[in-house]
Amino acid sequence: MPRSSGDTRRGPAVVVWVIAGVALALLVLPLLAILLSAPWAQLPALLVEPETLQALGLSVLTGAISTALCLVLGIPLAVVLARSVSWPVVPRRLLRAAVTIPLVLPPVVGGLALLLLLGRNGVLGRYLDAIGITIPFTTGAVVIAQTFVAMPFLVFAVEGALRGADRRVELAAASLGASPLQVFRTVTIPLVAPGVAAGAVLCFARALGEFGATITFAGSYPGVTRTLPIASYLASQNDLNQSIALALVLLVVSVAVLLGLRDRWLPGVRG
Amino acid sequence: MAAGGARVSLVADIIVRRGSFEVAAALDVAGGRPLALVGPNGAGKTTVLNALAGHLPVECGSILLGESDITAARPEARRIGVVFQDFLLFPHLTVADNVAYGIRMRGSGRTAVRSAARAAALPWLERFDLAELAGRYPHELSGGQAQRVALARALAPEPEALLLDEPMASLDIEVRDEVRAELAVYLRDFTGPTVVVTHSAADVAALAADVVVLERGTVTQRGTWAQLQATPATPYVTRLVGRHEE
Repeated sequence: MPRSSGDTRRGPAVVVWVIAGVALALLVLPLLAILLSAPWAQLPALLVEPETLQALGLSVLTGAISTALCLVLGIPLAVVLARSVSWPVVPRRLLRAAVTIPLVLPPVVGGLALLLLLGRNGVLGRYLDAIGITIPFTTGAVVIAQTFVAMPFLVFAVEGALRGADRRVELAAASLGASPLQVFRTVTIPLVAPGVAAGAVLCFARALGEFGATITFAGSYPGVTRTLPIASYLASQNDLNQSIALALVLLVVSVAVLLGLRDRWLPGVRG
Repeated sequence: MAAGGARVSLVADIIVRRGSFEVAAALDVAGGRPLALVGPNGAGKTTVLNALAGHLPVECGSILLGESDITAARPEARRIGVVFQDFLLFPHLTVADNVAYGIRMRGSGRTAVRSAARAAALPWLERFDLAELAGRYPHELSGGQAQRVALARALAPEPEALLLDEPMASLDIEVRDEVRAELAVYLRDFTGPTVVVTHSAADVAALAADVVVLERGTVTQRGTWAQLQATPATPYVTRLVGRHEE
């Protein structure tokens, strides 16, 4: 018989390992299924089809723009959110809820909300329309939809970094003559850079995969709003191989982005 | 700057409030005569220091640095160098860039450029025996080295006054005597008003010419170390002067 002390320690660990294995399988097996079902022989031909390249180009372009937009808008929002710990309970919780909403809202609902706000008859859209600005069903609408769903990933990553950093070095910077803006640029931003990088990656990956809000708010016009996920979904209706090929591209880009990052830039990894 | 010409002094008579805790302190610090602000933990020493540096607002009273009233000035507008208790070096910058930071921020035109500020920081690195460490990051430094960087960083932009908050507290006990002796030498070279916050008798004896004792938010005694030793005014001061050998 093995030593009983070893058993008591190993018993729970085995259960944990098994459950962790099931969880991992749930995450990885579907992706493996894509690889196993991929029409490898036809793949080169499928990937260079104009629609594929067009959708890929549009996805990368809009994903990059919305990530940049999330950085510009999201970092100050993260600063405010990190500072809100000293606020009264109600505004603090409202702010956090507002930032969290896109994470829990079905993207289709988000797209509908954007349409009701910015559509030609929307709350704001009617005024924009009056001065000749139309947003829905344009590439701009894709960017807005992606920014809407991806923003929380950036904000929470940066907020976590802000809370983890020793903010007192900002006082040191001020005593050395740095104005508040210089402190922000030369100290605060570099301190939270790992969080910003992690947030930007997650943001880009989320934007790249955006489907529901985009198709509701921006539609599916080839070359204008038909991003890779939409193209993949449409293809799955009549040409499964084409759909799998597009899905593979999304998978490869996402994995490449995540692997291309240093460990310490990933959320949950400190090193 | 403080070197040359008439020596400026730092004159403060202030009340600072932190929550329900109130600190009242009057200090008159002459250039070249470092003042030790001593007191037990929680006496309000660091609160006074933060008010002098501009990191805490003054409830009432005034702070004069030389001719100018800096009571309401923002920290970046006061020419006061600060060495913080755990040094607060910029973790993302090398030793050279830490020392150059103030030169770059205070600089105009050429020295506002990183490379020019680095060049201007070189003499300071040499003076504080940091030239060989110029490329290191703060986490690669010993406590004594980090203190030298903090001091060089505070002095490089040529402040008119210098504040040090418990400069020995985050050093290992074995190296304190050596580092304290070094610090005393560097402080002698600085001719502006200097305030050292400490609760250590050894720091007072080695670093300061004058002493102000702060207890529970009020000044209980002031004078030279010798005067404090001769006539300690409170039980705390009696204990303080009695354990000089710490």
